[in-house]
Amino acid sequence: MSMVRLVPAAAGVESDGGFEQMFDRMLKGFGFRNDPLTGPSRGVQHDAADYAAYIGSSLAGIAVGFVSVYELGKLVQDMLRDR
Amino acid sequence: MSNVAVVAPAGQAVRVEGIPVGTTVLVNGQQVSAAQDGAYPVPRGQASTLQVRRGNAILFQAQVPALEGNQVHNVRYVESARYEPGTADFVRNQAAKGKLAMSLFGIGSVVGLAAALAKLSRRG
Repeated sequence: MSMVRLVPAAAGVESDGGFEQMFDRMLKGFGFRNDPLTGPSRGVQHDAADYAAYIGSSLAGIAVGFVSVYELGKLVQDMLRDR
Repeated sequence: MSNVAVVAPAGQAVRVEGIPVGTTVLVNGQQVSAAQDGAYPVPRGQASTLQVRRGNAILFQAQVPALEGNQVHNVRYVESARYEPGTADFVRNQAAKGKLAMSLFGIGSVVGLAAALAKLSRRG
């Protein structure tokens, strides 16, 4: 006689500890706060060149975001106008 | 009879103020020990690099100018840890900085997107 044992699904609800923990995890995910699991042992060390790179990266993002959406939007508007 | 003790000159040295316990001092990559007065000897007549380390981590680095005779150069220790290239910490540090830069790029692109949508809506 085979014994079949039904095990109820171990459905677990992950408790995220509230908004503060979620926000903290989000900051760590974006890199604004050091994540001890993946980051270096004494925290992230930045120098002047890194700050310049961060500013350049932000400006590049703004430029790419603006130009791509604006040009695409103009194209769509013109197509709709000429329809 | 007077006792005259001839003390050999200590030579050129660098004194580090505020150096923490448990660290090692390297001059031009070679570990050196402090003399009795707490100063570390440096080569004569040439500029040197002073490093304070704990294990693999470089906690502090300074340039010592060329010294002659019994000159002593004073340096104040200010912890500014650096990770040595090739170590796991260095790789993680670079990865974390790259992650931050990419996040800033993404946030910038969202800002650019919002500005473009605003301009397009004014354009009609």
